[in-house]
Amino acid sequence: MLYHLMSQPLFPLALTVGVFAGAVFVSTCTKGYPLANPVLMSVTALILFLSITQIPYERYFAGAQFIHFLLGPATVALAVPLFRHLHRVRTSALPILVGIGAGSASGALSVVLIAWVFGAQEQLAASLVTKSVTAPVSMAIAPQIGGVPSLAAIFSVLTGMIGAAFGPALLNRLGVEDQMHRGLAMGTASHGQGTARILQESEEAGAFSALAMGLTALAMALLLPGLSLLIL
Amino acid sequence: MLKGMAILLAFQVAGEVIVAAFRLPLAGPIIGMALLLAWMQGNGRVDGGLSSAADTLLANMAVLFVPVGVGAMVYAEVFERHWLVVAIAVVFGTVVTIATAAVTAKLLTRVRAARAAPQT
Repeated sequence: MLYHLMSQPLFPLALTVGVFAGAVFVSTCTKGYPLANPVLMSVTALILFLSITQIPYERYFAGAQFIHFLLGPATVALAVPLFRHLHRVRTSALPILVGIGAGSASGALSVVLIAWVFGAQEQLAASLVTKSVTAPVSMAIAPQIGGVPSLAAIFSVLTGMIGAAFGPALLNRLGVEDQMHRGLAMGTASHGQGTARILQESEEAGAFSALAMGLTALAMALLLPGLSLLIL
Repeated sequence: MLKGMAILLAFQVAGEVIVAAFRLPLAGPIIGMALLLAWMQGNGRVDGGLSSAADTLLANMAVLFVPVGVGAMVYAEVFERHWLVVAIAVVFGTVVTIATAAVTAKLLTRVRAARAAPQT
């Protein structure tokens, strides 16, 4: 019967929203404890549920895709906080551009280095290197550098999760308080989820996170294919 | 709200069209975001309906990543065999990126401020 239920788009949709609402509740109860990240908890719970009930992912996604679809308009919507804080972008162009550039470059290099140290095969390394780019773009870059699109998307979401969960705490440790700097860092490393998380701190941070996310995606999309010929 | 969604979707479509037409390895929504920004700049303001739609979507953005995340179960084998590389790459890479971006921006801002303020 469960299988039949899941065959209708409604059930996976309701399940996803319900589980997430529960995860948010747990997160609030733990007062924002990093590991109690709602996305992390929801994904874990749902994977467990689907594995135990032996429901294939395709069936789940047939319903959940209606939520997934909203990622498009949500990404476009990031233009709004960006617009509201544009003046600060103009006055701080250098710290912004160099910060994003240094962050994404060092991140990508460290991934290549780690993959090399562990002797990971090229396909895995190529799928990992785009993890700091937002999922839809990392999916687009992956085939050009020898990676697997859906795997690259998952690594992006995983990175987003980790960055969103632990990023703010790391920034606190580093003594980075300025909302612009925090936003830039979150957006460069953990794109969409990082932006969603840092928007809770301030709209300004969210705006810079969105900017960093967009510029990182642009830079990686333009540079990685060419660079991969040299490195991978 | 509905008008706002219509605007967002229109710009997303525009972005997808451009990506397809010029075969860019970029996502349509990102181009759409840039186009919307340019449009608002031209208007000089944010449309009221757009503002409410955007704010609502962004306030609830996190849930939108769950379906893709659940997709990791399809790659259970990859994760089983390579979990250590993936874990270290994801965690360490993210730490490096966040730290480098934040500290670089912070240092450069300080340098700029020091240059702007005349030494007394």
